Amino acid sequence: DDWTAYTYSSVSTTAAVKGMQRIVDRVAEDTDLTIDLHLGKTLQIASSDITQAVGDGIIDMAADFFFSGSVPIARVLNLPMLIENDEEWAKAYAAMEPTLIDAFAQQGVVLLGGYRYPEQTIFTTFEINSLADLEGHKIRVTSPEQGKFVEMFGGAPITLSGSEVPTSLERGVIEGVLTASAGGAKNWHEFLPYNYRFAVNYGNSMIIANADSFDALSEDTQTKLREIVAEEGPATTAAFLEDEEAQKASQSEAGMTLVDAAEGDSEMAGEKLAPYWESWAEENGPEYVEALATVREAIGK
Amino acid sequence: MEAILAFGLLIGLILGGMWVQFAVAGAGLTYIWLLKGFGGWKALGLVSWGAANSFTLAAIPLFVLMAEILLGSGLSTRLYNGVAPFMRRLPGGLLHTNIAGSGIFAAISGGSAPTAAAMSTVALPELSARGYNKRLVAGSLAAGGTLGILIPPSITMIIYATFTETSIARLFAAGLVPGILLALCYMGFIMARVLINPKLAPKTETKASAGDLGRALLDIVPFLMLIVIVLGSIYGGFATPTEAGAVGTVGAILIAALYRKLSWRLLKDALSRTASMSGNILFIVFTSMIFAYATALSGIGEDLVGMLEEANVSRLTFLLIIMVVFAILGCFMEGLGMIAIIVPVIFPALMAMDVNPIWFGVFVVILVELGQLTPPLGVILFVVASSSDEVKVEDVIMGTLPFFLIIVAFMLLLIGVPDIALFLPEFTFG
Amino acid sequence: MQTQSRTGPASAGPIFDVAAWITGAATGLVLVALVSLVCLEALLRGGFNYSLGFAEELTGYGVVFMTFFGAALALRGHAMFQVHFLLDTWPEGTRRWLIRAFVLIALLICVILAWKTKDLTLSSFSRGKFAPTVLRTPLWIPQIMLPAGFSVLAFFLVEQLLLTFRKSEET
Ligand code: NA
Ligand code: NA
Repeated sequence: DDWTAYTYSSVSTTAAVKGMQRIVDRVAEDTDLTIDLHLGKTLQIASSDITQAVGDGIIDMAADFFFSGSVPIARVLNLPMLIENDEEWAKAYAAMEPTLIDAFAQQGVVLLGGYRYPEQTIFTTFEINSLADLEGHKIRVTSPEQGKFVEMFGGAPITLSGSEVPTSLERGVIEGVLTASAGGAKNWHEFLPYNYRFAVNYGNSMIIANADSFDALSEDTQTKLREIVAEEGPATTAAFLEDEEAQKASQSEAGMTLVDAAEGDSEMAGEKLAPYWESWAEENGPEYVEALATVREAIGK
Repeated sequence: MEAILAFGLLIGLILGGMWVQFAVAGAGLTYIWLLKGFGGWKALGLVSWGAANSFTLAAIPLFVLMAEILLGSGLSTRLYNGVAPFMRRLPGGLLHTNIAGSGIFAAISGGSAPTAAAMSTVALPELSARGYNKRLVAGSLAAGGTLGILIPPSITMIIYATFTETSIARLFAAGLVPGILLALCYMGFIMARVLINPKLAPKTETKASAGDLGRALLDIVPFLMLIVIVLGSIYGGFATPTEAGAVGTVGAILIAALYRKLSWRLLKDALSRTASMSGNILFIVFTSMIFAYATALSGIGEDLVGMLEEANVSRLTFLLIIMVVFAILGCFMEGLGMIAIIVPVIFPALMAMDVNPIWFGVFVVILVELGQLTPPLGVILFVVASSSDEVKVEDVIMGTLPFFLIIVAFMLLLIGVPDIALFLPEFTFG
Repeated sequence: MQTQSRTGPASAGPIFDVAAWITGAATGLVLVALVSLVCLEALLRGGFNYSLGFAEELTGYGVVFMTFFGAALALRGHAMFQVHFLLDTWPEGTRRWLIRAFVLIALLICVILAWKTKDLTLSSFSRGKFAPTVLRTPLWIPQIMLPAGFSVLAFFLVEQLLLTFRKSEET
């Protein structure tokens, strides 16, 4: 068999692409399946359309970070302040996995596994020592949930096309972004002198395959593919964590001021956002309420 | 093989006289079919959506609308009346305003298509009416557009930086000097052309009095106001480069009102011309993305790069071959697609050869620009052609050819003297 | 007939004029909306620290609309790019047949693209896919612009085909 695979990421040196490349290489070695991996922006398929592209059989396999329009229930894992560390993530993801597998199956997609970026923290052009310093500042957000977070602390959530972020930071159109050091901050760090190390939320990527293409594989290949993804997904997460530390060090060396989260900020923010999680779930429907309850139970919050 | 067939079909249809957009779409569909059969076409829905649904492309209609309002209100005629007496002695006269104007526009907009679209809309009718050679006018406008992504802000540079994890601030600084130098090269060429053949540009013999010059200065005022509004909105942190087009449109309307030129008729005509012109440009960008999808699917870009890497050549030869590869792909792809396909693949090899990534960024940006000037799929050629009924694509191609050669020569200079690009970033950032 | 072609683009009948008028009015409105929306976003953000949150999304949809409906206007206004120098060397009869062939190929392309984008719209509808933004726009709604746009293009291509016959009657 010959598959076409696609990843949203266009940077060949990032842990996300290296991980996918390892999967492709190992599959080629261990099975009769060959996978042709295309990097982000090479095919004219928007990042937010990847799950649909896989479901419709336009591509056979993909890494999808922007699945929230197709499988919105997975966003419960990205709610601000709900999951605050690696341990909680592991528990929450395990509890949600059956729901996610089901939700992706409804899209005609097999969820093989995934990987996770390090925590998204606050990068700003102004001095920041606590969440209270967000007051009155324009922060670029990438989801309505992040927007809610910024709004709760008096900041102004701004949506802006990614290609305009650097110029906008330089000129003061926006004054900060929420991202991981090993993610967006890698590109924009020179416009961002301050980093408040406050974990707002996590972002994760799903590794998925078209259901029909997957079913057409021999049972042996299916098992092998699942095994490889199950190994390389966590390996990618680990590589990201390592990269995060390296980026923090190099960004600090380049002059960025890294500020540890202020005492009590996390508890305060968690309490402030808890009612929002519930209203978010209720707004979206009963299955969201159930998913939120599952996650909260798993992490004991 | 599929690539040759698809490309042959593309050229055949275009030369035969088919609408260029449908020729590109037809060749693209055929290309996909050759690669994947009819099943490949099921991607067309998502590819169409992904290609057309773009925030940054909004800069094209926005800047065109701004230019149409300037043109319709007579403010652009006033501008050229104002500038003309000062350019009287310079061989080439107002042709230099095309280059200078493009340079200013480049500092406003993030892309070359909006730059060329706005400048051409205003300049082509004005300069043709004054008896300038239309091929030279069109060529200078297309060439001027290339400054759009060289002089910051530049979306192409931001994209390159994302692919390669290089410094955007350094890239911006690195583009500035080559941008200005290239503009000076264009001006030098225009002067030389006109000195050799004075018929290309009209010459006024009358001498302007001090009073004439004063009145002329007043004629420049409205345009200066617009520049202040638009540049101010960007550098004051009010608008992004894409949004600047909308701010400029509102600014142009306000200035037209100030000079009592505003009317419903003006707005209606400007809207109607903008719709047709930007639809025409956006649709060719759209169809070339379908073709680019097929090209990406075929893996021809990777094949070319693979051959290049296997050739095991010297640094200079490597860079020269990269120029050729970009030139080939540039004939049937749009710019960003080329960067996406080529840059990540060759980047490790470049690092091994000790090529400075900032310098290479400037190099690639100029190559992308070059691709936008090569037929059959040079977007800028079509942008310039769309701004006037009297100028055909053929005229633009012929007019652009010498400027194309200047750019190629400039790239060779850049290879020989990398400091042209690297001096400023090293000076500013150490 | 001749007076008509002097005042506006050649027309194959009132139904095409009406369609062109509606397309023109709609693209004009979308342009005005684009300018207003983008300016308003910049104004609110710069002046009041407030972002609409949907300006980027709606602007993208506006671009989709301008792409196809603007192109339809360009086609009708004979502004759509063409390279003429070979075409002009053919005798009138050959040229007319060539143009007919081009129109038919273009029509076929439009039909294919309208069909495939219609499939996309249905896929988005049945998946319940929406834009992950504050508006949560169900994506089939803006995606309808694609098949609609290709249909409008096809409609005006039909006019071009009819016009090739009209001219032959006159000569
Ligand atoms: Na620029
Ligand atoms: Na080209």
